[in-house]
Amino acid sequence: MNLDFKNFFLNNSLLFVFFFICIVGTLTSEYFFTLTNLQNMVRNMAVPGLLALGVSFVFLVSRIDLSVGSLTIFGPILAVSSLAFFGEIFDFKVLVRGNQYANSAAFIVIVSLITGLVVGFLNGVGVMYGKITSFIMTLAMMKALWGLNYVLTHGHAYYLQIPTYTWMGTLNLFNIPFSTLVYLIITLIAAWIMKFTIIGRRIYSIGGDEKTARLAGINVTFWVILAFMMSSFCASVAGILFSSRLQTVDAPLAVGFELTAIAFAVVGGVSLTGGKGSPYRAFLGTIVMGALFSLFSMWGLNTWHRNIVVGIIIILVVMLDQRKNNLGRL
Amino acid sequence: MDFLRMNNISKAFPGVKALDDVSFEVKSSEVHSLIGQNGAGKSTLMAILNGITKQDDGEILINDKIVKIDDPKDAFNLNLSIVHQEFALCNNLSVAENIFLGNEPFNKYGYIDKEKINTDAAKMLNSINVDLNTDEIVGNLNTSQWQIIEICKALSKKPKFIVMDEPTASLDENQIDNLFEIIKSLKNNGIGIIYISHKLNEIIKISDRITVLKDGKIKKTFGKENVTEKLLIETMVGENIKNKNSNHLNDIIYPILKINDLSHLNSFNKITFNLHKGEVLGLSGLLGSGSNEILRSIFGVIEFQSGEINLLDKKININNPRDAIKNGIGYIPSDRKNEGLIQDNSIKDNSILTIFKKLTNLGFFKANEAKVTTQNYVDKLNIKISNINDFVMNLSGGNQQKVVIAKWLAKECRILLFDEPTRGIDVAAKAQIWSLISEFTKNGGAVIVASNEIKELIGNCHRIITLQRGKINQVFENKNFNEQEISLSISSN
Repeated sequence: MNLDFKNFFLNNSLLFVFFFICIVGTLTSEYFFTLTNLQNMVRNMAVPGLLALGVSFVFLVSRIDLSVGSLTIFGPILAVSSLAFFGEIFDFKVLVRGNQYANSAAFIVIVSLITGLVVGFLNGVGVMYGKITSFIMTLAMMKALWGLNYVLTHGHAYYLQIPTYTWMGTLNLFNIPFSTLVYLIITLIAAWIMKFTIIGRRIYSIGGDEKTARLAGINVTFWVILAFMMSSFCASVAGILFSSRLQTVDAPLAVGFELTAIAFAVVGGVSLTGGKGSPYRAFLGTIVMGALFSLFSMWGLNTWHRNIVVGIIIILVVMLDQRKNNLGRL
Repeated sequence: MDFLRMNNISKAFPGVKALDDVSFEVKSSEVHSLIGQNGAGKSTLMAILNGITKQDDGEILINDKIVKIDDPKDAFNLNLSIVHQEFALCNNLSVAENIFLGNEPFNKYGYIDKEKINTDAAKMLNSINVDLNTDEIVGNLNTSQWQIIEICKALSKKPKFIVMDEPTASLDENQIDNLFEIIKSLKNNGIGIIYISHKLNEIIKISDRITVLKDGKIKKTFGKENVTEKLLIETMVGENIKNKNSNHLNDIIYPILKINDLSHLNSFNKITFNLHKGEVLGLSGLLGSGSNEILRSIFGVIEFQSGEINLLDKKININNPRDAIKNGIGYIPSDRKNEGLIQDNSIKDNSILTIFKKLTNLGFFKANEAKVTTQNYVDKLNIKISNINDFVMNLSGGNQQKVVIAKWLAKECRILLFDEPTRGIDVAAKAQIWSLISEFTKNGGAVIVASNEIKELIGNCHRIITLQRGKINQVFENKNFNEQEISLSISSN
């Protein structure tokens, strides 16, 4: 019983860290424990949380995905710019005023999701068939998409005024932000997939020992490509939530998100070497870092200082994690 | 004249006396060979000489002075170099850079003195009559040239004695002749050589003295004269052992698997044999004979260039392990750690690795059935564990191997390919593995075992195929099993 509790504590220590941060926040700032701030906090977790969840799938098969940052905004940009393009050709009224658009929210959502799946597929194919290291393949993808983002928008922002679209980023259901709900639901589904379906089994086997998996007749190529597609899918959902919240699509948005996502996942305990980690771990990393960011804003620390602290935290967490591994499993 | 002597060396490992009062010496300008079967104690003796393990008893002397070798650096300081069986070269560096790796001379500005490295390396290569460009990148060279570079690496430390462990394992005839020329010129330069090999004809050709180790003891030391391969084999092997399967062979008439003219680049050539229902077929050969590669080709791990594989008289295409598995073939690799098991997964996850699909219903994993299946095999194979959710990395070698086997039994394979199935497994577990193999074949399966443990093969196989340099040398049937003949067929042509 005693050991069980110790195990529970060790495995969920980040949960306690999260509560600790919340307590510190409440004690040091009168605004921390207010509905608005808590709503903001959890809403801000949704986008990096989804990205962290996505890259965890790729980490679990011992690979890396750097393209998710650029991809986040690429889906909406592709959708909106093609709406504008075809709107001019076929003369349907998408243009409301200046460069503000109001039309089919469903179109943007669908195009973004499909784009994500295609990009993930390309990443996976490049890595498995092209034999390109995932770091290089997804770095190239990140750069290419980044460039495409500017080409498609001509460097100008599109302001979205589609009520059905923008409410996704701003609406609260039972006081819980819609984006957070989407994030939670996807995390739950992912956790379930990883634990109870063949997809999870395969991904963990491959991350555990790719050679053994291959010799056991597992189609490594297929499952790795799928992991990349799952990652990109999450990035696309994040992109929809992100652009609907900002009511804008613009090329410079979401730059560097991939590294934040990786940091969140790593802090949660998802191993870069594969096989270790879970959607739950990515979730833990997200709530801890999300709470910390919120605390920093309360304290008035700006992004610059925040980045320094994040760097230090990542080093500490990974160091502690290594210690824990070396001490053996409990 | 210098002497290296090992006097009355003993070494025990838990459960086995690896060396028992062994004395061995080599002097300048001499090649003294050390032979013996697997487990005779050669590697232990060399590990002691290299400072990797410490003897329990006995002493090492150089020129009648007792020396202490506590780690490889001590051996190096005593002018004692070892050329290991495996190559340890940096493929991206040049010949000269490899020879002086970790030992580089510096010029007065603190940079590595490239010129000196190149001229010294050239001198060294010259001294053993080898024509090799010192600027060439090692990755562009062939294995025999790597072997030469390994020797030069040893020479760069200006040794008085060199130990060569299976230096011809990956060389062809011409390259071996070349190597022997080099060994002769080393001898002429006053270097004493301890030569370890399984290849008896080479041993006889190159040695001044030959010492036979058996079960950790010196059996006999032969001089240059009157030594024959037969004599060496007799000394190495001792009395013959019996085969257990003799009656069972009569049932073996239905060929399941027909291998026709299978060839792979340079590992094996035109291999043809049949595997019958109920048969345990042994493949045996020295390193580089191709026995392991043949198994890996049949399983689709490496691609063969020509030839065909027929299953029940139907040609099958095997391009990857999945194809092999679809045809009911399973493979138990020799590298259990990296290829057989996912070390930090549970026993359960490893046992059902091959049958995930069967254990899922519309994509949902049937956890309970997985548990039952695993427990079933744990009981059947007598795997000693406390919980099927334990990590496999904490199991003993024998139990780990059983988990690998469980994986294929669960898949209901008809043919199992075992690559060195008893490597790193204790004696009791070895017997259990073999009885599992026997039971599997009695139930209609067929097994190919690639192994160098000739005694085990003789005790358990119906037929043994010996291989040399990628070609079938001889086929023995169990009524004619004779350890000496089989050993001879493996290690001499």
